[in-house]
Amino acid sequence: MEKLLVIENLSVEFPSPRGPLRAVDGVNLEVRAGEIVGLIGESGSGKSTVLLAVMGLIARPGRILPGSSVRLKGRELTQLSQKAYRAVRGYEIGMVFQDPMTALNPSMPIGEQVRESLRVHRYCKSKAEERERVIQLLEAVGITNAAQRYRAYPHQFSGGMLQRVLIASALACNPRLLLADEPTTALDVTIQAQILDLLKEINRERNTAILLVSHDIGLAAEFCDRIAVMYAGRIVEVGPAERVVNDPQHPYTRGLVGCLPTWGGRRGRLEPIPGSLPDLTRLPHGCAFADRCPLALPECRDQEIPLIVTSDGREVSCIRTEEEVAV
Amino acid sequence: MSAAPLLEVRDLYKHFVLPRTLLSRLLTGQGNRIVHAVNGVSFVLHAGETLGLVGESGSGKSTLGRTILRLYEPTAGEVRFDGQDVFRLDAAGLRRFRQQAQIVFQNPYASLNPRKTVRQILNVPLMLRGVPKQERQAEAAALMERVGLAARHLDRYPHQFSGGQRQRIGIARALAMHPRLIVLDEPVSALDVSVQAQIINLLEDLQLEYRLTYLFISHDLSVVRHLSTRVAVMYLGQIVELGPTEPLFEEPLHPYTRALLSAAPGQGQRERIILQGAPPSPLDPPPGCPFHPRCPAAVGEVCRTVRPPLAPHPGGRWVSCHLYGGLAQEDGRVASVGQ
Repeated sequence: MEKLLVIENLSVEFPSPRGPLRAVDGVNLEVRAGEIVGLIGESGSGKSTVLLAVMGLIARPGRILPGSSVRLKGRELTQLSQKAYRAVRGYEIGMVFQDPMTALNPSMPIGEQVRESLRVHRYCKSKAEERERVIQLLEAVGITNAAQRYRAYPHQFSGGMLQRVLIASALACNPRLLLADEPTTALDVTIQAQILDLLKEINRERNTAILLVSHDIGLAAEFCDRIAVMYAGRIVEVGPAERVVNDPQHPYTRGLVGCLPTWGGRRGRLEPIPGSLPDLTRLPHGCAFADRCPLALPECRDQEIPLIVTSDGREVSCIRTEEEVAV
Repeated sequence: MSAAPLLEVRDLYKHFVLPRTLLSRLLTGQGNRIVHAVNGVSFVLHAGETLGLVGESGSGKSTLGRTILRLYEPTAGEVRFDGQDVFRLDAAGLRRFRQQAQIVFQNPYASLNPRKTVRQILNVPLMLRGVPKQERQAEAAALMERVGLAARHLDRYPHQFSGGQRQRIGIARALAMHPRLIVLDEPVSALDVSVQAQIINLLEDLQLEYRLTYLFISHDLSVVRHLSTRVAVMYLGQIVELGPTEPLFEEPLHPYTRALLSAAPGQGQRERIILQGAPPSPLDPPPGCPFHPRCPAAVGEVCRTVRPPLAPHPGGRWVSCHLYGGLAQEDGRVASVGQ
């Protein structure tokens, strides 16, 4: 499959009173055309920052470090001017945010908000055509009577409906890539199921690739083709969704899966990961998980741990992976 | 399980009044609007058990938890704790009741006073329980250790702790009263999964150690399944199904429970029931069964007009649905819903 998005050695830093904070540290990730990739991690792991970096939305004083590369269909994005980036956002890449209640302008009719990106990118020839496309988009995301509701305001919709509006507006210019930052976290579980269904349908019918950020590994396992697990700004494991969740290789992924209550009913106590996240202003040189890892060796702390390709085609950043597999 | 339940809730209602302005009353010709947050709920809670209360936002689960503790005055109904009518207690009786029934809140960032040290926060319940001043220091230290925090951190302020640690402080504050019942209102929802697991294990340990009874409110179905002995499912202010955890999860009876469980992620390849639309507003609950406008199994007129009672079902289960009321059984719909 064609490589749509290639992220190479992406690092993002924010200044903090205790020194520069490395939110994303040397991330490599690919999204192929039509693929759904999940970026999983706990709060502070840097997953949302990766999306913002792809969108060119890292605001000063935060910065993308030199040597980072984000390429969309082979074109380098990190070097683009603000003006050139505006032609990418909403046109080649659409984005859906976590909280639909705050992502929309409360004083603007929803139809106008969806139309905005068509207008900015001069996607249609006339205003009438724009209006028609907005109505089609709203209907495509499951809003009935779209023509009548074109002039309705956000407060007249429920959270699930607003998320549909946001998705319609992200899809307006038919982008090849959709970034979704916890798109269902603010929604109830029955509504979450509706929205995930809709995103899956969009992926299948329009062949839109989706990069989904989520803290919910169970959700990602069902929804994504591949999963990348992040810890302290680094990717620790990447692989086919089903393999990563059912047979996690990195000790952190194992910990993450082990501390979830399983759906199959009680299987004894949960196994929490001891300790807490490392200080992102003082990231260790070696493995960031070493201090909490049950398998850590002295070597883990004094060398950078590359992603190692395992026998089943996964990439795992742990020096103990191969011997574990051998055992 | 003892014969007499620890807590008995009978036909509890809690309505909130949303006042309309005079102008709006004149224009619409209508009175104030009523939020039907809890709308006729009955259940019992036995000593030592955990009843999981699940439902989507706006279903009334938090309001129910708070009304039971009389943090809200009820609109109608009765709550008996240890045989005593909670809503008829005088001030002294209420203080004794509140010593035995505590609550842990969802948001550990908002439920601790930011201007007080942990020592001051824990001192209040100890004082109310009548612990002499000279013993409070040792008790507070013991509480900290019990919930997995260091006693030397007693003089820190809440902002110096992480979310998980703050939730431990909230639990210690509830424990300080030596309660028998704790209402846990989404105690792990604001936490990351690795921390969530630590708190869940702590809650389980404390329950065994002190023989606590939990009313565990959560929207996270897998957490509820892990922790609860029995589960009650709420929809629009009513309990639609109640029963022992595993049978309820394995073979849900109410069409809403089926849809809710099938929608939960993380259960592999399973047929999803996607409900249409969103729950109706508790400002204007539909007549009849609250779920009928979205119900894929509605049997007709009776669902739209008659509210089904929460009726017993074999296996200690309760379900509020006309499909199980004998009214619908003739036309064979039960079998099709059984799939």
